[in-house]
Amino acid sequence: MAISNGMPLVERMLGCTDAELVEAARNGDVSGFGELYRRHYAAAVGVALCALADHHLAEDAAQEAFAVACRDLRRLRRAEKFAPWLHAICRKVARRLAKSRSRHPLPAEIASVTAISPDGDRAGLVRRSVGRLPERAREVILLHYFSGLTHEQVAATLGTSPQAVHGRLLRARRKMAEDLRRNGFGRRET
Amino acid sequence: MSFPKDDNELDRALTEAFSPPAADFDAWQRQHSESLACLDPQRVAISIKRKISMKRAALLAAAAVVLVCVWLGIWHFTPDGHDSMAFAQIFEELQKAKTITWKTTFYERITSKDGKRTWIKPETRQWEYKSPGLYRETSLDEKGQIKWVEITDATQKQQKRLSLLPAKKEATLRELAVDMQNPLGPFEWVKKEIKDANLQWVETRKTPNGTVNVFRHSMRDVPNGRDWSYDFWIDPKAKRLVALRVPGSDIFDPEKEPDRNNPPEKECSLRTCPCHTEHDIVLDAKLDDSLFSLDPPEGYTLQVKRRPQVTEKEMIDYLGILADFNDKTFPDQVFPCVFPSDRRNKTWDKPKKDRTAAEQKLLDTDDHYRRAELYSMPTGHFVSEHTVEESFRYLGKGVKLGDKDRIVCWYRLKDAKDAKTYRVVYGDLSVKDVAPEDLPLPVQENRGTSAFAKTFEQIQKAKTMTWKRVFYEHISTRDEKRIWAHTGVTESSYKAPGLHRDVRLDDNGKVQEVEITDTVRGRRLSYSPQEKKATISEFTPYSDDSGPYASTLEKLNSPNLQWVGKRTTAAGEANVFRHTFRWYVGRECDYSYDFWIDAKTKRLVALYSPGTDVYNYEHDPAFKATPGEASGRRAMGGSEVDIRYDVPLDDSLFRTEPPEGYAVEVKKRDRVTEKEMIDYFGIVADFNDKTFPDEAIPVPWNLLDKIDRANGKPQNEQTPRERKLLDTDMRYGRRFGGSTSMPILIFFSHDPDSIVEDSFRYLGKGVKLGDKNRIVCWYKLKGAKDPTTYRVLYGDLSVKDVAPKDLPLPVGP
Repeated sequence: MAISNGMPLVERMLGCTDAELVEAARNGDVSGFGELYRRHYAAAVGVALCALADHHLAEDAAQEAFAVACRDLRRLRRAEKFAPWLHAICRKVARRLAKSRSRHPLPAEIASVTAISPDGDRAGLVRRSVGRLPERAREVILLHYFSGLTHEQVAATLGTSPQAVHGRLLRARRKMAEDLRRNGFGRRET
Repeated sequence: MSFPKDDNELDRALTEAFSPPAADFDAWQRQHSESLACLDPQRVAISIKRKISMKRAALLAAAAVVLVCVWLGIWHFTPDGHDSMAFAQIFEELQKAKTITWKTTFYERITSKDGKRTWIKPETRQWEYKSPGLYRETSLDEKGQIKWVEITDATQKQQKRLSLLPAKKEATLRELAVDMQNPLGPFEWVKKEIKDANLQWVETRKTPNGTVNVFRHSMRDVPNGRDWSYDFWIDPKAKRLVALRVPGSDIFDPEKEPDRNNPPEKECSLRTCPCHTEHDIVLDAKLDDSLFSLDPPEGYTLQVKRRPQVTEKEMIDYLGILADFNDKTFPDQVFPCVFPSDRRNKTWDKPKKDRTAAEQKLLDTDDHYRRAELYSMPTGHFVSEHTVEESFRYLGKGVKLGDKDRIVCWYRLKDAKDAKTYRVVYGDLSVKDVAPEDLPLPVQENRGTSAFAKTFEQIQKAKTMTWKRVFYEHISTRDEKRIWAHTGVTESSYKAPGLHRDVRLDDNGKVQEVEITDTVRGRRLSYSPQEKKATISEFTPYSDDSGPYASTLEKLNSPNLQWVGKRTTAAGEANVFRHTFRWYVGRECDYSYDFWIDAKTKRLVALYSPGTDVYNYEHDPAFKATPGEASGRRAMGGSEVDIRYDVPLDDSLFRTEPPEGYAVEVKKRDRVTEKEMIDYFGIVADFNDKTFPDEAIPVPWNLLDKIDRANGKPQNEQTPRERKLLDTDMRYGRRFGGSTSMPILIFFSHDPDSIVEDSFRYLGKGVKLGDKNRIVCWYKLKGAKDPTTYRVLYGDLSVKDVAPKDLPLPVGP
């Protein structure tokens, strides 16, 4: 059922499920949508970043995805599935944006020789190594480390189980470790 | 040293590499007002009307088709079309209704005193509704006499309710603490269900007033872990909603429940309400305005109750009660307040005699606020009513009740004299007025900018820095039966750009070893005064050196950063911030960093890794143990303390020339020769099914996977080609300190003296090993006799000097 209209704002929003917030937003409660935005923004940027590999473009895509979600909120049949629904929109928007700006999902920035440039800082090298990961592995890494989602939240976002996320993260990190070792990113550690 | 050493280090590097984006809803809202307007119910209603009109048009068109079909003799009944039409009509009628009357029957299941029998007791209430937002609810006793009446005005921002007790001629007018009725009408949720839910026809029922079609929306009630449903009873002829049942009769059916005819008993032990129905629904009945008057009838005594309030003291007391209940520790969160294992609900189920004083106190307090008709947590109510929006910040997680140094929360009062001052509640429930700049974490107004910008800036600007590195280790005997602690100290200093000096002291405080590193020149001097030996090592210079703490400090931007208290330092007082994270693989555990930031200067003055929550040397019993014969060592943690900025440091401290009288060993920078690089290409191609890889730099994933699989095989199952590559890798790994096992990479990328910058081009994808006509790559050697000539490597590993004009692809910028 919809949340009570009269509960105090802070308690009402922070304690609500996504489904309740969706209900509230559908009933014209902007703060309900605001809480959904705050909750899922980082994850949405992470999802977009996976396709765009550009932080600023990813933020644009996430914001556009929220605008689409806001307009189409009434079409969402299962309110509790807001997160995967939003992220599906976000993927579409990000891919469209990537196409329209003629940016390949793996831009030159990531794949070029600069990836193993001795000048790169460690964080930059790690980011570039993430960019080189296959899409499924990249997605889970970005959602966990960039968007700051827990295993459970990543699972909810991707519509899978936390155990599967744990396994995917393990494999993704193993791939990265191999990539970093083989490609000499540790040279600066002399 | 290779990176990453293990999964933990990679995990840390990933955590450092990314900082999550900040969600600024206000900014988004400003840019997307048009999208937000779609949430306006009025606009949606218009849109729905339009859709219904379109649906009608479609139905008319469908009807025309049906007529044609009938005419053709192939008429077929389409129940879906009828349902849609009925739902559209119901929606529209509910939407247009100015008044609604209906009855609600609650079916109460009552359990006998001994808990062995149950019976059902129905109770009916009469409702009247007048648009917009006026409600009247009447409760009748078994004889049909009025027990009480409640009239609610939901049109105001703060709803009001008049309660009447006719038997006592008493009237109470209340300002409600929370909204009790929907100002848009009683059946808004029904309209939404009709519109959004995919209602399924489940049966046709006979009622005293005729036959109804029953449509159902079934769902999973996740929070309560149960299946749930709504039943909609629709008159098929009039296409009107005649009743609603919650839950549907698949879950509870008052007409079929086995205990429906059981006789009632005088005493009971439990009452539940498993079902209610809304029935006798009449739209647009004539209702007199006087039914909704908030003026009490003549002859009634009137009591007026203002909106219930929670004072600041009550809110703080309640936080204390929560902490007392939660083993004298403030809960992890207060909105909503959740205790481990749903402890609060379990306390309710305990007999009173088994409850602790703290448990009883919380239940009594909750009961007090319930009786005061607060209907929400006192903390939430106070924050909502009395604090500036979004100024409340809760930091109470893990704070012990009574801890006067730890902050539980802060907020700004709406009616404060000084609008900028924050009220800060501490673990001992004391409150202080604190200026925003004195709070340990940024307040709302600063969100979006780093709270530690000043900390970062001071480190970046520092020309010199000094600090003491202390590390703690456990030393054990061979049988590990005796373990004792040891402390090591290194005095470190840094001078920009790129000069580092580390002086390792022995247990008596004497200099054991000095290491001076010049990252700009690529030179390191290490010497031992006791042994009078010095070593000079050359390495590839760093093109940039961000100085100490550059990457570590990024953790201060972590969203889960916690302020854990203040500590006294030599310079004054420091706020301690903790970054906690989980190490997943190898050794899954909690880990943390403690950052000590000077409260006044905002400078980083100490850093503990791990934080004192994970390892605290002050409480380590191994420091009291007697040392024995050392066999194993285990690092426990370390700290960087006494961090100072812009200390005068003489250049001579950073000279990488050995002191006089020392025996000097010079280790030249190891390099990969051109022949070694070419040989390695051959080994990789041989491993890769005698084909050169898709890319040379970086190594492509498909090749990495292949190497990984080969590495995972038992040695006796590895092919000679696999063995050859893996052995070669190991050899280069040892030679270059594990930084990389790829001589191709070292030659082309890491060694600035090997090739002319940007002259390397790889064309080896798909080239077969041994193909003398296909080019694998080309490059220009640094220091070559003819600086214009390119070295071209072919598939048979031969090399030729080729003029740029003879290359198959253009070169140059």
